[in-house]
Amino acid sequence: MRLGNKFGVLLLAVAAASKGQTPPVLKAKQALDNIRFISQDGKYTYYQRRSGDLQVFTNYDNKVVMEGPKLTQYSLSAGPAQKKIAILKDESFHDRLSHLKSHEIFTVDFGGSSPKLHGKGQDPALHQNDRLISYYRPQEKNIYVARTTDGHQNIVPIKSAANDFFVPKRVMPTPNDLVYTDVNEKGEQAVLIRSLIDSKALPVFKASRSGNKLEMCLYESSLIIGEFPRGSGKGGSRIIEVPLYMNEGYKNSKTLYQSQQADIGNISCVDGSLYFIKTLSQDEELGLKETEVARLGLKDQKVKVLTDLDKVTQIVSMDGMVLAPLRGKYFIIKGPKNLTDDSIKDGEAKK
Amino acid sequence: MKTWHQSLANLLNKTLLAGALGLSLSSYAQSGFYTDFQTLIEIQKTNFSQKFERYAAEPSKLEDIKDPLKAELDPDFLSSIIFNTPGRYAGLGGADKCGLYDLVLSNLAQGPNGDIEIFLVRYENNEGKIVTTAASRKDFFEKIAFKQCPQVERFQKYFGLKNLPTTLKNLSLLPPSGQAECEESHSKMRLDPKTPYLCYLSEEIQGISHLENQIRKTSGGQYRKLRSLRSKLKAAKQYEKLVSPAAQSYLVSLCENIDSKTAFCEGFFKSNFWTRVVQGEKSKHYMESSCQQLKGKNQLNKRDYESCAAQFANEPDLCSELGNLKGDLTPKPGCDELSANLNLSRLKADYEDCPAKVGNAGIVNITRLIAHFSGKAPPKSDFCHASITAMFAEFDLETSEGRAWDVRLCYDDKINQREVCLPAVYGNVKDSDLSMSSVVEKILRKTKGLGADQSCRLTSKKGYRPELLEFKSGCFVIVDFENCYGTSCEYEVLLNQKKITHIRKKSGTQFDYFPKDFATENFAISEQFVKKYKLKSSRVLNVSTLKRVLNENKEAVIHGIGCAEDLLPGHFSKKRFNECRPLPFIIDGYKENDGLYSVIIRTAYDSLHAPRLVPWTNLFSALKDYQRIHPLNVWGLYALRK
Repeated sequence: MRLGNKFGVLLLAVAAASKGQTPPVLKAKQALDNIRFISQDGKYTYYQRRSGDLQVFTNYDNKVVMEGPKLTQYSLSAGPAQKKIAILKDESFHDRLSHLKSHEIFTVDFGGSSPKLHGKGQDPALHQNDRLISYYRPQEKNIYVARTTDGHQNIVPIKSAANDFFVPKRVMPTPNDLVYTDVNEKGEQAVLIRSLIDSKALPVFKASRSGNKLEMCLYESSLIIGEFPRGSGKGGSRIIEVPLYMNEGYKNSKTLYQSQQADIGNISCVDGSLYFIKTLSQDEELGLKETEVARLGLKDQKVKVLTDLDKVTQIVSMDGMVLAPLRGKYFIIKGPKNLTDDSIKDGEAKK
Repeated sequence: MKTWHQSLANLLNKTLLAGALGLSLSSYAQSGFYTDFQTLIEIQKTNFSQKFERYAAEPSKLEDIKDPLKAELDPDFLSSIIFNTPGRYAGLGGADKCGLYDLVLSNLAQGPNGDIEIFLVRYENNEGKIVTTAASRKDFFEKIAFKQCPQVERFQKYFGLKNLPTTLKNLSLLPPSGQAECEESHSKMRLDPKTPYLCYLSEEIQGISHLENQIRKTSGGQYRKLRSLRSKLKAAKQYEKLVSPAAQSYLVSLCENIDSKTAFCEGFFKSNFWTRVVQGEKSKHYMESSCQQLKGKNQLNKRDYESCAAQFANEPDLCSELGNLKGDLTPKPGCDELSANLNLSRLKADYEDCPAKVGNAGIVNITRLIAHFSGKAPPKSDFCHASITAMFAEFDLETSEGRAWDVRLCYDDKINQREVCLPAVYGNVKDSDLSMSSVVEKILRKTKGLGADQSCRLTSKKGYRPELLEFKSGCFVIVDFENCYGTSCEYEVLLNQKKITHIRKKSGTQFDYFPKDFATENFAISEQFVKKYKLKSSRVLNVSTLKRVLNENKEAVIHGIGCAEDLLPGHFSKKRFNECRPLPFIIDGYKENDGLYSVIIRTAYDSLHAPRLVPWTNLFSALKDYQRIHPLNVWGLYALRK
């Protein structure tokens, strides 16, 4: 083999090493299209029916969680505490395509079937050991924070000035503090922290350029913030850590990751790792990006590209599993490979 | 049989060869190709002008021609035309003598002194002798050219000032909307005998400022020259009035690049779109709101637009956030990307809409399609969203009696013991019975005896000032602008300062964009739309079909619904299993590079004037994910054409 060819092979090997592998595809007992939530151990499966019902399947037992008109769409999410599941019920999914819609938001106990109504809005999220639920009402431009126990509510108004389709990201480091994103008239996003007791809001971080997207998650006592460019895509991407305590004015921060490329982001934080969509290369002429799932270790700050799917753009986390949806399939980035085991678990046999 | 053009070319080649041979023998010591060629031109010039002066001294009236059909232009005279005519025009108008006459008549063909006024002609006279003579332009055309080529005489009439408006009406001089259409247009125009006349018009219009300059520099004493220049300028200005800016731009590009298809098409798809707006070729709406924000004023003049265009070129990031006061999806593409996308876009967009304020993506998308295929912009209104919903509501009321548009103002008809609901839009719209004020007036006339001469005034919360005399009596519909959208609105009706409580509102707009079950298939809004405008609708399953549809029909567009998270992953993220936000869109162009494709797309959240470039793979994922959750597994991508 000539030297040129050997070098070419070496280059290919190096290039291949910088990409991950093709992850396994998620399989379940039911058709994936109807499923809305599966627990990591496969014990509980929430699925919707064409009739409009949401049901939960566990231990060969089907229970109706709630009923709705035909073709109702449900959206379910659970927090890391695994105590509750938030449910959004959209009764006009196919026939009212409006970004202003507010839907009924419920919670059920994890694996349970008795829903509790909390209010109407979009994008529900559970916080603080699932004792709190937040959601957003776009027509009012208000964030609602409610206790899952007694429904007591706080309302936090946002500006959402430049873009009526903006939905604020939210985390709660304490039961009394809401950290959320907002955007001003110039399209500059910022992270703010607001006390639910005295309603005082302070800025934590501001995007470096107009149009950049901010995403965040909590890690120990810090806030992890990802900044990802959009629009003309210049300026590069970064992920930083901002300590929430002993950090006056939130001026101190540490850069965990930086890239010249315009990563898509869509971050998900699970078990001390931050998963995000990283851009490996970009074709400006056609707006094409080669994008893969990457993991950033929040302790060691090591970045590893995990997939070689080429065009993956989203990450979904579900009960500790990390999945990459692509062309109708779900690729398992983290989690059990097979959710088809429906054997009755020890100590759970029906009487 | 040799074509005229080939004969001339051969003649030229022989002349050149003979000249080159002669030169090479006589001046070998100082030869180089360029030097020889220049000398050749000088020899030709000298020889010809000597011949020309000889004949021009005694011009003929051409009264002794035996057979005008057999007369020809003198070969040396022809050579001089070739030498002096811009090279790009040489192939115009076909390959026969009639094409040459078109070139001459349109003054594109030039002699050594510019426009050709004297012609050297060779013919058989009545005595059977072959003679060469000089003739005036008038005599040559009337006695020889028009007899040989009657079409040339007709074209002279068609392109005269008197008939020009009618002639131009029958010609399509619009910029092409795609690469394939562009190449076809160029090939067609190159062979069209009318093209020399169109290029003449273009050259005259482009020459206006030069003529004005010449007039300024010519002294008053040069009376004849001044009169001629002024006459030319007057004609050129009349042409300018008759040829639209879009057509002017098209002709400039065509005539500059008549010999190069590639250069012609590049001029459309790689040129700066903002310049095309400034020059009047494209609607000012594309720049208006961004420029208003940049300049800090509503009334813009040409200089403002020029300044904005220059700023867009120098600061491409500007376009991403400007013009966003209506809340459309931002960031938009940068100015460079936007310019490239708009050059490839064909959706009719000479109006404003406001997706965020309409509040229903299905309505926004369908209204854009209605405006495109009907050729009519939405009706005017002080409320942008009312303009859009009025167009949708009128369409729906006409096609399905208001099945989709369920915004109504209702009252109890006590006489007939029933509830009466009247369709309305949330705002006042020009010439529309759906205007909110008109509907409130109708109801108050029936229920409160409002006089026929009394009307209800629509005003904002801020604008309503009850302490002023004008608000002390009368009917007012007070709208909370912040909370007023196309399909839901907070408002109050006051009559003589008393709140009206018996008018109830019904706000609902639920409809299937694509059919979601077989029983109500025909009521889906897309089906109603295709039926009303008598369009052909076909599924687009792959990129080859997309390309073919857009290339074959320059008005065709493609519409569909896909999951927003796959279409625009930078703007929308999936956090939940099988999460999907259905988002309608319109595709009206594409880009190709090395077998890969991206589409020019406006989602129903995007500004009408800010199309995006989305890779085919993203579009495919969006369609696939939507298909999976759709009750009929609909592949939501359809081409629409007449």
